[in-house]
Amino acid sequence: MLCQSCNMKDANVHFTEIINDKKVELYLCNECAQEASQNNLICPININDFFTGMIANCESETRQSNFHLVACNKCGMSFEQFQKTGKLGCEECHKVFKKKLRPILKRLHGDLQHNGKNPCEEAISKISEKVSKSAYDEKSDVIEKSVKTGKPEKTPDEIETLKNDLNKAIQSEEYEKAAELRDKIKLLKNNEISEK
Amino acid sequence: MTSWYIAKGPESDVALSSRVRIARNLKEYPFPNKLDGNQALLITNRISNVLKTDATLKSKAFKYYDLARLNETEKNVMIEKHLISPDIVKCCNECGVFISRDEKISIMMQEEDHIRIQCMLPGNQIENVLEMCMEIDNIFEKNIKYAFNEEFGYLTSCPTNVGTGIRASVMLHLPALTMTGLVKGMLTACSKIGIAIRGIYGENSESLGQIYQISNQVTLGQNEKEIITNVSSVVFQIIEQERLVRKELQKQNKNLFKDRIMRAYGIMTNAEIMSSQECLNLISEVRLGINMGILKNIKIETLNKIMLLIQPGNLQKHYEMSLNERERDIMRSKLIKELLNPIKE
Repeated sequence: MLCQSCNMKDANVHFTEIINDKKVELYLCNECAQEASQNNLICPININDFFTGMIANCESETRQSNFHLVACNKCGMSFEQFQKTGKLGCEECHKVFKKKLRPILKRLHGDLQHNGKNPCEEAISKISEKVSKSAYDEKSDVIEKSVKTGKPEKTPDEIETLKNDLNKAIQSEEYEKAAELRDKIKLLKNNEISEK
Repeated sequence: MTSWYIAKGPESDVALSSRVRIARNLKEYPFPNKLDGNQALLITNRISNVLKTDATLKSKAFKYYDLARLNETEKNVMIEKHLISPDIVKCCNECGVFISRDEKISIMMQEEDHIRIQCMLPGNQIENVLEMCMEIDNIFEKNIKYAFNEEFGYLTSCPTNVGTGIRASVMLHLPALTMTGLVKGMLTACSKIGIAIRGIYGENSESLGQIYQISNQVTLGQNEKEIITNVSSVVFQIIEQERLVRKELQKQNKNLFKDRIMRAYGIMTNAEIMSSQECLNLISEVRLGINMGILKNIKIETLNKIMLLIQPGNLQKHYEMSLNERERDIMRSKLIKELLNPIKE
């Protein structure tokens, strides 16, 4: 968002001003905010509150579509409530308000896809332990051989495709397939390391 | 054993401490703002069981503190040690905290999220702190089911934390960059790459004692390692800059530089009444003096101890009495004299 005073730089300070008992909110860049506070007209607000301001900013649009009345079926949190507090009520809220959350997350993080740690990996390893090992021994032997003879520079791509397949398998709850894919990835990775 | 607050960590001339906290919620329960007291107790019990049964966690000797049963001073001591956040004190939903014996790990229950795992170490060693946090998180993950989805990662009450749920921060002492005003430029530069710099004591951007916290803002899209690398590379840059400017300032006007530090030292060791605000600013000058080789007889550890003990909660705990503001200002000076000139007193 651009500074509402100079319209040139990015706004990163949220200012609140009380004029004739009316609250006026402004988003300013550092320079303009400094100038404003020197003029003693505006009191600066903690940057954490900035976020609640960002949600409230899309309020008019939300009202038009009546989305503010939408409530979570699990905890009862309405979107209007969320806009006021900046806090969601439960896991289900993330699904119910997904459509409106996406633009907020995009603004906050610049991204929409989680890339970090994944608890599913843990779950799959547990499941795969249960699957009888012998059934996969033969297959892994084959993979091992093919990897050893294959060109090393090709492995990273291969791992990527396998990882994608793995995610798909998890989503469609095909855990046996997932376990198989996980083993393949593991083999390829080990092979890569030993080659280095 | 020296407590970690007092110990000197890596790059202690600029870096005071490193902290990582991760936010997690359990799958089947609503978040703390929609949670009832019984559910909150159930969650706390589950965590308590994991802490008691897992061998690794058991060895850390966690102790549980129910916030409703602590008095103001006890809570302030924990806030000043960063073991709990000021926000959790305002929560009223059966919240509490598990603290490890060495006070390096605290697990806040029912603050904004069900679980907030936080690890801290002295100096600049954010990578090690992340490892500590992840170890605990992995153990928890084997025993409880977290709220998670493929798209948004770990689900948190506030959208600012979704994804990895990680907030990594390093506390830096930046007197030279503050004096020269260069810190403001860094603030702008960092905000562009999703890193925040803020003064840790005092309101708004005005920092007391020239201590700043460098932390990541982005939690979604980057993985844990990327977040940490991002923070630590910014921290590395700032540390280098601070060292450079310190040397430059000292070179430009040696007497002025020394005068400033010796005056601060003089006030600190002789004053009879001292507010915590004044004290934090004096500590800053003295710390700079020690690190620039001007004050040779004071250990950084002593200063770290002073910095912790002069804060209202810890000061009252140290003297085991309840003190009003005026009394605190007097006892604060007394404490500093005791710690800095043990021979004279």
